[in-house]
Amino acid sequence: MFNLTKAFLFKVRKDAASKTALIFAVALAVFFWGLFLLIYSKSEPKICTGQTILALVSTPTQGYGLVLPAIIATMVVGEFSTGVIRNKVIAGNSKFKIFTSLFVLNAIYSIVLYGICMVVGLLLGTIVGGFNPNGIGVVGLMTFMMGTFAGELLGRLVIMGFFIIVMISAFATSLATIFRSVGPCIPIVIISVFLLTILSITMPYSKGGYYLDGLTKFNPAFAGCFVEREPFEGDWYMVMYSNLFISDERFNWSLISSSVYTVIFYVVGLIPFLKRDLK
Amino acid sequence: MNIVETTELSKIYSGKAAVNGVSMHIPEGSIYGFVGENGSGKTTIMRLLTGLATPSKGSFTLFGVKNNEMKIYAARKQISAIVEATSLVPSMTAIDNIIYQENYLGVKLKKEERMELLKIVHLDQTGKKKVKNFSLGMRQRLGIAMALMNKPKLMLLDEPLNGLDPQGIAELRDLLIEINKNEGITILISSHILSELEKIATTYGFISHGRLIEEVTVDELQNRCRKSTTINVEDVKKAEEVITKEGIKDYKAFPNGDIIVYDDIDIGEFISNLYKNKIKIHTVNSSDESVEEYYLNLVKGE
Repeated sequence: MFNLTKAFLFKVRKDAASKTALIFAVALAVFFWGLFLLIYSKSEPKICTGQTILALVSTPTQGYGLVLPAIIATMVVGEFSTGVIRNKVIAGNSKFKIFTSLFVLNAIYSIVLYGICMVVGLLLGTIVGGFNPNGIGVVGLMTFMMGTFAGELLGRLVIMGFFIIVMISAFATSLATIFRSVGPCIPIVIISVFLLTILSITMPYSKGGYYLDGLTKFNPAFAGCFVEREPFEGDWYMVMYSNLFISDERFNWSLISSSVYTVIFYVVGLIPFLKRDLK
Repeated sequence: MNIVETTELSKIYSGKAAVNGVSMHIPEGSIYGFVGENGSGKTTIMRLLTGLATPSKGSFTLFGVKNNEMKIYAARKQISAIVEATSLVPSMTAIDNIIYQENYLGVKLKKEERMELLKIVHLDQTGKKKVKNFSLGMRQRLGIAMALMNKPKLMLLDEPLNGLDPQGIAELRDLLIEINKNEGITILISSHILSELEKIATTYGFISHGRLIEEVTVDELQNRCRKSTTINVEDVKKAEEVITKEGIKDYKAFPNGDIIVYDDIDIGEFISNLYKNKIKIHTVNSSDESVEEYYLNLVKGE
């Protein structure tokens, strides 16, 4: 396992795909920051702050979560197509070890990239508008001013983000291992993440759709979505408003569901990898 | 001692046997030439030995370790292989590919050792050139260098001469002979270029349609393939006296009446001499086969 980790780290340093991934992580943070700067440059109180940009890039399914699967899938498929996996087997590593190391290291790498994305966003936002100069809340831009530093919300967003990013990385790793080709793998994983986001936004809007309440527990992205149903039964009119906090229940369910999915993706990827011959 | 032994090894794909009950034996220190037509099962056997595929039936041992034992992973650490294609990361340089492989092999080479490896395969001047810009021959040679990295006890080389120019073939051939003799590395090599295989192999395995037809040592094969005249006589002892009188030195006599003469002789005169000495001759045969012809004759009936 140690040797496989060393090899992974060396590849991250030298391989073109991993360099591209790093560039994407920085570029995405710069993009969000630039977009906000452009739109809200003259707004008073300031909206483009460190806190706002951090919150924005911390929402994994809407930002880096859509880029990451393509990166991870490309890297994993590359291991197959260049014959590196084959070499690892010939070198006397068990398939179990190879898949597990690939899975774990991809997850760690995803966290690092996601972290870089957040740090760059935070720094750029803070340089321009300060971290939280006017007490503008993280999602103040959506509805109204929250007036306070949303530390707990930010903290929970980041933790949930890491869990979801690991889940997305797991999904991409497993699919890439099953398909061993970028072609079907990247569209499937990106569309799935996108659907996760769409579902998390639309779930609260269903008329009298309380049956969906249960389902929201199984959507890890839901907790990070700043939308809730207006609590007037039978009314189509829904109010979008910002949460000052993510409830314990939402937060816990997000962590549980993303962890369970991660384990499922691990098993789903591992079994065919162990059973199928390598080309 | 056999470094590799397979017992009734089979691999079935979609109901069709790619390898069918193969029992082969690779002696330690040998260069085992694997000869067979396209799709005969050579590559599949190498894939089974390296763990890239799992046997459908039968078993094999590597260094005495059976394929279903946990120790097989440790045994595989003593082998290196180039099966089907050389596995390289195209966006890295030759030296980076070597370091990358060092990492997952758990080997640590010094800078000079890496350069020495590249020097052996004449790639020491490639500098920062990425592998994606290498020719097929260069990639092949880099693959060989990487296969030598962990100082293996067994090398499995599937068509390593493909894509090499005549000079490259000669260099690789010399290199394989050298590492076999000096390092004691056992080599299993398949190639379509039988004339080249003839120059290096010490044991042959002839395979056709997934079945191993014959396994012979180079001496046995030479005896079968050498230019020779085989005469079957009634009285071998008497015939030997005549042969000695004739000054023929390189011959073999067998109790069944066969006498194989390897010296260049005038067959007509020789038969006439035997006849004069009242030795009854049953049959006379001349043969002059190359390994290729031998193989083709062998698989004719398959």
